[in-house]
Amino acid sequence: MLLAFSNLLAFWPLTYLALGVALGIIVGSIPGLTASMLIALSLPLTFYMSSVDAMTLLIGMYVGGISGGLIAATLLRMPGTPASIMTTFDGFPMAQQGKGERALALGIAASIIGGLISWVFLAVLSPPLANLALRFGPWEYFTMVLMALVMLASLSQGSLVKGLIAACLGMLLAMPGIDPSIGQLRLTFGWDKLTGGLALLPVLIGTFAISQILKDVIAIDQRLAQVQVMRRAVAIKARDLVTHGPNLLRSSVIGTWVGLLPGIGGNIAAMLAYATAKSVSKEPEKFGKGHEAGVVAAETANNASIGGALIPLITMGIPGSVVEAILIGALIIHNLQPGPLLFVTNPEIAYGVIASYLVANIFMALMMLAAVGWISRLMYLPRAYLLTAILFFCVIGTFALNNRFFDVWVMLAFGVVGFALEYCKVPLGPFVIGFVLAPIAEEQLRAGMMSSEGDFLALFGRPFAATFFVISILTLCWPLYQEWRQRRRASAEVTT
Amino acid sequence: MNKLLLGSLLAGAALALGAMPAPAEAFPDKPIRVIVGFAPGGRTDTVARLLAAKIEEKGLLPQPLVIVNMPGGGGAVGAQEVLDAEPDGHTIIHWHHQLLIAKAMEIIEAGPDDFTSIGFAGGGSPVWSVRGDLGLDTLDDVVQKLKAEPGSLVEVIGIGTIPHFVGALLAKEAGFETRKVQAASGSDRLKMIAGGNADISLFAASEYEGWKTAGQGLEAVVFFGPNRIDNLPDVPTATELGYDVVWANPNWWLAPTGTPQENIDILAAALEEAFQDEEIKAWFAENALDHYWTPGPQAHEESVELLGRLQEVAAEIR
Amino acid sequence: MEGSRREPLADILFAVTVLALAGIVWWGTASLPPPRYEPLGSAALPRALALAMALLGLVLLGRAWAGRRLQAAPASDLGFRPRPWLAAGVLAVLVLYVASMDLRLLGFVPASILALVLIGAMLTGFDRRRLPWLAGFVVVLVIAVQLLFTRVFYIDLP
Repeated sequence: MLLAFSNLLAFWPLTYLALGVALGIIVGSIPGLTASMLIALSLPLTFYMSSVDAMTLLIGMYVGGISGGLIAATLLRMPGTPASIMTTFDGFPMAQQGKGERALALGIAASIIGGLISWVFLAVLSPPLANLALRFGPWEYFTMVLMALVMLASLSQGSLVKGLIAACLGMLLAMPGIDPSIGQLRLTFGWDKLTGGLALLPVLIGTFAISQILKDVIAIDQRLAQVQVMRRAVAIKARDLVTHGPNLLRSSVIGTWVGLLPGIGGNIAAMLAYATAKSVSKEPEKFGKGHEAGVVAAETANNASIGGALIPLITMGIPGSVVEAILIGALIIHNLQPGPLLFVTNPEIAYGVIASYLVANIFMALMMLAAVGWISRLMYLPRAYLLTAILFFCVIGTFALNNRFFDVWVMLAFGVVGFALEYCKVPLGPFVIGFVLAPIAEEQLRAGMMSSEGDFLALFGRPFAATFFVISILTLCWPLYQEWRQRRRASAEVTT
Repeated sequence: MNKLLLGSLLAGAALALGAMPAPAEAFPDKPIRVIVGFAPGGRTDTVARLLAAKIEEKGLLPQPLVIVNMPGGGGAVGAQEVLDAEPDGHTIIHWHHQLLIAKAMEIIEAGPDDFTSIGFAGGGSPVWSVRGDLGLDTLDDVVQKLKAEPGSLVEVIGIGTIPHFVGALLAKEAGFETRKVQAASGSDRLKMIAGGNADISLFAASEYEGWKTAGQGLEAVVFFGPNRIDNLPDVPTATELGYDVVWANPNWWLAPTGTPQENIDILAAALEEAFQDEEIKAWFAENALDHYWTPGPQAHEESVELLGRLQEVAAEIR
Repeated sequence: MEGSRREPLADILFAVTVLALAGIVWWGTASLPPPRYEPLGSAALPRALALAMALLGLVLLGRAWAGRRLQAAPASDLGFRPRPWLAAGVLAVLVLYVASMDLRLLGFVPASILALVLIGAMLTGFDRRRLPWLAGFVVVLVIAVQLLFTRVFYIDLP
């Protein structure tokens, strides 16, 4: 391990790491361009580097990209990267209330703390954690995602009915295309372009960024209260660490754990941490309206998920997400097969990943603190420049994702959908959460049913799955009960 | 629907304005798009990138090959893009026999007849592996256990993909039945086995080599190549064990039907020469892949024949 | 349900759209084969969702209908003039922009410069003094991105 650090302290690895983090932050903070896109596009460049340099560059981009997303999410309500969806829910209201600086400070602090805590797990507990995570079978995935889904379905201000409709709508829009379980083509209505379904990025960019731009254009004459982000004010106080301590720790653990589970990544980590923070909070009604704990939970968890995701990558050679799959590709091109043997055959790579993750987090914190004032000022460029540039990045980013114009059309269509939903006062949160979580829930439920030969009750034979399921049912019934009680009370008041 | 209307109006305008024939220039006169129907990082993507880099390094074509990743539907999204493109050789696809399986399962309309084969640039065969702690060391053990207690072992497959078909071919030959569970990719299948949630799965030989010590370990019981390979000298082939199941999944280069034959020939020549390079040979050996070049017409013929057999299997397992 | 009382018409429209969508999805799942490998099959979840949406849509419709006679809340003074037509215009330019590239009428650079300068000009209210600056900004942005994507990342731009 020490050797790995000393290897890393050479000129080129550190340079690549710093470059990666910087590029990641820049790309992450531009709505429309994401970390995974940057990494996919950079893969060919890594052919010509040594395997250590390639790896440090990619890990730097990964850490920087996930962290950079919080700035646009907070100041513009446009998630810079899918992992920062949850940050928009409280970060943007905070900014509107004039507490943007505070939201950014908390977000950055939460990012670095989440990163460091998950690094400890990565460095110390990798093999046992990886083994434990692998024990999670289809039923555990299904019930865990179900739990997040029901906890977040109530994530709306105003009408519960509208929130639920939004969640159903989001889930439904994830259905068309090739059914992930059995390869059956469904709900494409004979339209070839829909074979691959609706991709996450265009839907997300459309619903959040494009619809927000349309709203901003309508309100172009409005004078905005600017958030002047001073570097000094971005610091947080020791008291904050105490106030948010339990949340930071819990969200780091949740983030690391979700990252560990192959196939689900930063955005789901943030969703689960946010849902948990909300349900253990004494003031759950404040979430979604600019509550500090919401920003902290989301930003801690999405960064912690990276450390988590690196665990199965280096111990088993199993990618936790698209980004890890690309990392594995970069190693394979250099004739390195990631897996348990990597520690034996190429320890400099295996420990190098661990060491670079720590250094990348430190670089990320330093660069974010140094650059946040500057980047925030960019967000307050004259609207004509800013909105034009963001529209451009949304179009090109969505296109470059899969080189398809279909995705760009999807993005524009969802811009209108998102706008219309907000006009009808239908919350976007449950909509996008349903869209992200439904495919995983369905695939895992059906895999579970297949392995138990159609017996749903098999779920109760598995302790984790059973617990998650019971929590889900309770969470589902609670708001319905509350609404019923409130209504009864209200009608009692009217009659008296 | 306004969008469609607008689209057709614009298309009409485009036709009216400039449908002039382009002057004949030497092919290729612009970068060649190589569609890979998967996210970056897998075998199909890596082989395409290696050959593209080699072609550029040796200057075998005047224009570069640009790898374009279009993941979705096991490659079906990328295939659609190629079929929609101008058939002039500037858009080609690097895929494998999932095309045949998708056709046999009727996931996509297109089949080998909608493409012109440029060639097979080598390929690889998979191994069937069981979880290490089960105490089943040979295929014979597995078959006997499954015959004694049908469905007692959980096989993790991806429905409508290669593991599903190869497993079904063997099950049909040997007359056994497994319980099935679904997982999307190779690493998802490994995850299920290493976590004790499944017992058997199919892996590429190189995957098996990297993963054989993961979790409780993996035991390769049968290799589906025509012959044993040096990377796995102790794993018998299915043919050796008396089962007529051979699966060699090629790196299949295809162009849409209607591409001029002389352009196909130019591409095939460049690809074959890059493919015969010593560095590429070494990479194939290292990654447990077979290094052979099959010319286009022969590749097409073999594929059509295989499709017929797959359609028989598909009729049973659909 | 404060929201549904203030905007009864929007709610009624939304509920009707939701019901229609549920119907379309139900119809779309009719042609799917019965479950084969596990008891749920491809159609189960879309159908369940369509059903749930239809039920929720009916609830919403009922509530909005009941509240339709209530006066819409008077528009509060926003302190600025909303410009819905400007947004529609920007959207239209975007659609033309993407269409022109998708149909290969224009290359990436000319299409982007044209569309972005037009959008920028619309947003500044066609202020002549700011136009040169805006055009310069757009040209630099587009060329920089074009170079980055084609030279560094080998992305094939239209």
